[in-house]
Amino acid sequence: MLEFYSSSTNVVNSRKAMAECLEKALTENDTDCDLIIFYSAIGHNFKDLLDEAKRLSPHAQIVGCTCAGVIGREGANESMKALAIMAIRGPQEEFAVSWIDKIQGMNSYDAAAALAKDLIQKNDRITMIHFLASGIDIAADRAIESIESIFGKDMPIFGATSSDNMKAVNSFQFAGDAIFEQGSVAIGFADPSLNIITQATHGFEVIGLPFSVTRSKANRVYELDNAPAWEYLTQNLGLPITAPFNETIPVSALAELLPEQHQTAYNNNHILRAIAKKESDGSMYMPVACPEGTKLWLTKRNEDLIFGGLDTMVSQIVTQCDNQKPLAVFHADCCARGRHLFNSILKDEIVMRMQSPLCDETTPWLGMYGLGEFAHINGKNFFHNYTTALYVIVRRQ
Amino acid sequence: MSSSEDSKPSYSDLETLCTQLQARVTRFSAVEQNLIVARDRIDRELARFQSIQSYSRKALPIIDLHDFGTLTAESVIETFEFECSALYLYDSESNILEPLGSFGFTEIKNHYQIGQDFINNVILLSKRTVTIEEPLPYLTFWEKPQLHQIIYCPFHDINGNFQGILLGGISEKNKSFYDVINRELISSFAVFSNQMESLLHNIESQNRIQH
Repeated sequence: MLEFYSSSTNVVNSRKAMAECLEKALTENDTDCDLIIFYSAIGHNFKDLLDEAKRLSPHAQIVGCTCAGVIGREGANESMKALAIMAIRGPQEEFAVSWIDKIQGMNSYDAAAALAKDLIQKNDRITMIHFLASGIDIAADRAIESIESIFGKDMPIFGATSSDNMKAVNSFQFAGDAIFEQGSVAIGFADPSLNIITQATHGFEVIGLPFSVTRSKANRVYELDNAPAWEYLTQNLGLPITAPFNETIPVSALAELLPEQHQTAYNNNHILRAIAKKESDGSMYMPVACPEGTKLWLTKRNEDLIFGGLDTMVSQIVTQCDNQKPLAVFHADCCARGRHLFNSILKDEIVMRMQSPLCDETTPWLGMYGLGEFAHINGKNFFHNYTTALYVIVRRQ
Repeated sequence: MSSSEDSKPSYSDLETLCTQLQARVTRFSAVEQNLIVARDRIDRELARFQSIQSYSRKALPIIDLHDFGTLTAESVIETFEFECSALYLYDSESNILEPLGSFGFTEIKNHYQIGQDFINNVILLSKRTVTIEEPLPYLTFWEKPQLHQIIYCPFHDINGNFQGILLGGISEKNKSFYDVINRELISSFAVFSNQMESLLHNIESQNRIQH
C-alpha cells in the first residue's frame, strides 16, 4: 500500500530547500522513499533540486514540474523559490512514471499517446494518472483523449499544466536527472486500495454576447468574428494590443458552453479557457481544440461565487469521502487565482476553506498554481482553466 | 399601436446596448485588475520589510563573517526575488572587491579589480544611494556572468570610508522569468543595505572585543 508524505518551503538555496522538504515530510534520519513528486517555482536551480533529491532518496524515482507557486499544508507560497513535494513509500508495482520531452499544440495527441503507452507497458494495473503537462501551447483535450484511448475513458486523469511564475514564456518538467522544456510527466498509481475524488470550480460569470471563432486550426485561433483574434480580444477587453501577454491572463478568461448533461454537476453552465500563448501574427493558442463556429464568451470574476463555489465543492467532496479521512490531497489552482486575484489575507482564507474541512495538520497536501487543471466533471475527464481543482485520495473501505 | 411598437427597441438596438454594456463591464474588469495589482505591490512591499526583519533576527547571533556573507546573499534573494546577489568587501590596498558571500552566480571570481570610473563615481563621491543600472557603466568588471540588470548600494565602515557594495541582479539568460528591477525596490533595498551595514559593524566590533 502506498503511503504519502508532503512538505513545502521557500528556502532559496535549492539543495537546502529539497533537503528541508524531505526531512520535514519524512524524517531527518530517513529521507529515502520510492517516489518524489515535486512542484517548483521558476527561480530554483533545477539540477540542484534533482541532485539533492537523489542524494537523500537514492531509491526514489523523481518527477516534477515548474509552477507559479505552491500550496502545501503550510499554506500558499508564490515566491520565486517556492518548492513543495509529495514523497511516497510503497511497493514498486504500485506505481509507474513516464515522461516525454515535447508536447505542443499539433503533436498533443501523439505525444500523449506515446506517454500513455509507455506508462501502461510499465504497469497495466494503473487506476489513476497524475498528469503534469506543459502549459504553453498544449491541446489538453487531445492529450486527455489520447490517454483515454490507451487506458479507457474511466481512467481518472488529474493534475495541471506547468507554469513559470505566470510569465508565460516556458515551462519545465523533470524526470530522474533530466530536465525538459515543454514536456510532460505522468505518474500512474496502481495501489488497488486507493480511490480518488476529483472536482473543480471556477466562480466566473459570462458577460454579453459570445464571439464566434471564424478561423482556426486545431487549438490555434486566427480570427474571432472575422477579425484578427488577439487584436479583437484585447479591444473588447479594453486593453491595448501591446499589453504584456502575461498581464492579460487574469482578465481574459473565455467561457465555452458545457454540454448540458454536465452543467448541474459543475454548478456552472460554462467551462473556462485561458489563452496559453499569442503569436506575432495575431493568432492565439487556446488550451483545447477550438473549431470554427465555437462560441466564446468574455467573463468576469465574482468573489462571492468563487468562495461559494469552493465551499460547495469541498462539502460535496467531504460527502463523497464518506467519513474516510483523506490519505493525501493533490491540488491544482489557476495561477490567476493567487496574488493576481486575492490579497495575502484572502488567499490564506481561501486555502484554509479548502483545507480545514478535508484535512488535519498531518494530511499530506501537494498543490500548485499552474496554468490549467485536469479534473473530473460528472465522472468524465475535462481540462479546466481558472479553477481550484482538488484531487482527494482515500483508502477504499 | 404603431407608437407603442416604435418605442420598442429593435434587435439591433438591443445588440448595440448589450455591446456597450459589455464594454463597460470589461473596462471595469481591467480597472479592477489594476487595483488588484496595486494591492499586490503593497502586499509585496510589506513582505519585503517582514523579510528584512527576519534577516536581522537571523544575523544578530552570527559572529563568523563568511556565515554573515552567505546569510546576507541568501536573504537578498528571499527578500527581493532577484536571480543572484553578492556582498563584496573593498580592499583599498589592492583596489579590489572580494565577495564575502554570493548566491545564484554560475561563476564568481575570488576578486574583482575595479576601474577608475567606479572609483571616481562611487568611492570618491562617498555615494551611499541605491543604483539600478542597465547596462552597467561603472561595473564593467562583471562581464561574466552576463547580467541584464543590477541594483547595488555602497556601504561604509564606521569611519565613513567606502567598505563595499551589496548587489542583486538578473542575468541576460533568465531575464524573461524575473520581474524587472525597478524604482519600487529602491527604498527597501536601501533599508536592507543599511541594516546589513549595521550588522556587519556589529560583528566587526564583537570580533575586535573578543580578540
